[in-house]
Amino acid sequence: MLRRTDRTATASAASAASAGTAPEAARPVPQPQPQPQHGDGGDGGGSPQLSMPTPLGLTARNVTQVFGARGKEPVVALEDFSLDVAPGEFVAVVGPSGCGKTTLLRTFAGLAEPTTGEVSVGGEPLRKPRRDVSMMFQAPTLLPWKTVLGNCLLPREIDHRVDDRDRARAHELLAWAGLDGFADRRPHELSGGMQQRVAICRALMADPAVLLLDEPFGALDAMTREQMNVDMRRIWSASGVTTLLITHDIPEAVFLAQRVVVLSSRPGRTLDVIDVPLPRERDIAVIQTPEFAAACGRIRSYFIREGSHAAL
Amino acid sequence: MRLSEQGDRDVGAEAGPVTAAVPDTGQRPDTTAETATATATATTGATAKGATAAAKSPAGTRRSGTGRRALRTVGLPALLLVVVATLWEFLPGLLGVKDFVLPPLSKVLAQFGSGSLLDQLWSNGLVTLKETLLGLLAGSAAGIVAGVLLGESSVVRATFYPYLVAFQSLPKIALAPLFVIWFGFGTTPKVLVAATLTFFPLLVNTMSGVMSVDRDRAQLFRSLSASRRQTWTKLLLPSALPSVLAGFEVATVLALLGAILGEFVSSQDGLGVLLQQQQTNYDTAGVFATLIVLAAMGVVLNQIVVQLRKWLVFW
Repeated sequence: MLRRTDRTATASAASAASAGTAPEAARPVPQPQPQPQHGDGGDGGGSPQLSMPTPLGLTARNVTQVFGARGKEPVVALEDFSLDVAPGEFVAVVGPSGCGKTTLLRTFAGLAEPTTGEVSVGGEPLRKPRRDVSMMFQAPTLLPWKTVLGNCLLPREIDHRVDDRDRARAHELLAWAGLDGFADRRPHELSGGMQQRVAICRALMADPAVLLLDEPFGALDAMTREQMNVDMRRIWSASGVTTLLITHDIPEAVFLAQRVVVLSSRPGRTLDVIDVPLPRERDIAVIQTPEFAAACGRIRSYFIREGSHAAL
Repeated sequence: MRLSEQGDRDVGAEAGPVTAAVPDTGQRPDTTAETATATATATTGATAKGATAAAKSPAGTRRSGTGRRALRTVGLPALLLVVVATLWEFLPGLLGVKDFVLPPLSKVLAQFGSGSLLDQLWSNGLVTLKETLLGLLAGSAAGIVAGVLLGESSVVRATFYPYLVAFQSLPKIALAPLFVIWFGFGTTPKVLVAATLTFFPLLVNTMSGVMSVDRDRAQLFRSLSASRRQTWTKLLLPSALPSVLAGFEVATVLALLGAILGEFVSSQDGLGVLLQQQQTNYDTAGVFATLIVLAAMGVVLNQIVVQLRKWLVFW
């Protein structure tokens, strides 16, 4: 149902999405002109500087995560969870607070070993964190003593000695995120939305084959959040990186993802998997379509049945 | 709110150059006197500025709020200084208090006019300063290293921490006689007393700073496959820096205390010895003069650390 389009069409969609970001100028923090590269690069090139290594698929097979402090009742965070994410796919997992969503993401990041079951990235069983799997947190999680550029370069700095090519790449990504004038600023000088953009750039700096997003826009105000959703969609379109998003915001999940996995509250079990009936190229106007509303309604119905209003 | 913040910044700007000038003059004989003068000048300057701004305030300009703020933060303490100085000068005479109990301020200040006392203050002050700085350095370095070790390994923490707490409960000055037996009458025992006093604040602050590292940042480093060493140099130590420097601020004052205590127990020179000589001679004015020098030393050392902290921890 989701028609795969060729690269040129994707690129023009990205441009359309960025055109939809015009209200940027109205934000309280002055920003440089958004993404002038789109004009320079020409439609043939699209966003060549965002091209990432070949995306990898993600697989979880019957994963159960049990946490137990000694002397306490063990907590089952995740029960018999299975999921296949195709290379280059965007999948969102929604569920009420405390349904084990974050545990799931940490498992895919190699930060938490499953109690039972197996997780693999690109067909290889995951034993420890991988450098080609990038994670983004709810908070920007920047290092306050480093500049914006320094924060961006952190994955490369940990991998090897930073060279001019890395710096050029970081500047490219920052420019792409509309932050080219801010490379030498410190994080505390930036608004929350801009900080989260820096975090995106840092995540992309690792040349990820997989991007894991843990409610990355949950701490932002509604307007910035909507803007970030448009940007995230643009990044995914242009980079083609396999992306797994964890959120409790249903419209966000439907707008961003091709597939939405609905989790029950603790222990987290898969209630449903929904193929989002929206075209691959989306701009923000898509949220007013009946298909969008129907998809949101279908997901919401599970939480009303579950009686978890936190998820609304 | 905005106005008050600006007021703070103004005062800070006024105080800035004073402390910035201190490291430059550190090598010269008249450090304390010069600094005192500089402080006085800065204070007067700020007060005058505040007064001018306050005088303008009926005009209702925006600056007037800032000026009133400056008047409060600099003017009120200056006023208190004048009141206390006046009372000190005249009250002992009015109440018939003897000079050897509480000499009037003018007699205390006159001490600084005597060349021999100035020489003594200078040479002994240098000794005390050296002991203080060496003790601060040694104690802080040991404290930071111990804090890192205890923060890194729960095994090390579990093994050593109870004994370190027990050691901390011991009044360190009680160790001074032992240090004298071991190391004689030179600089070493005083440095050791100062070091034992500074060790603990640095240990505790380093350890807690390292252990309270932001959880997400720690996960970020794990997800980036950072090595243990990279995690320490790029995350844990910078994260602990504010806490370490807060400990250092406390330790500075304690180091000076330790040096003086060490000198009281047994020594040939240092301001602590000078104080004891003056006490023996009932030279109360001299004691006060020495105390003023000690207070100035403490303030200057503390300000250096405060400014260092502002400079290093800018976030």
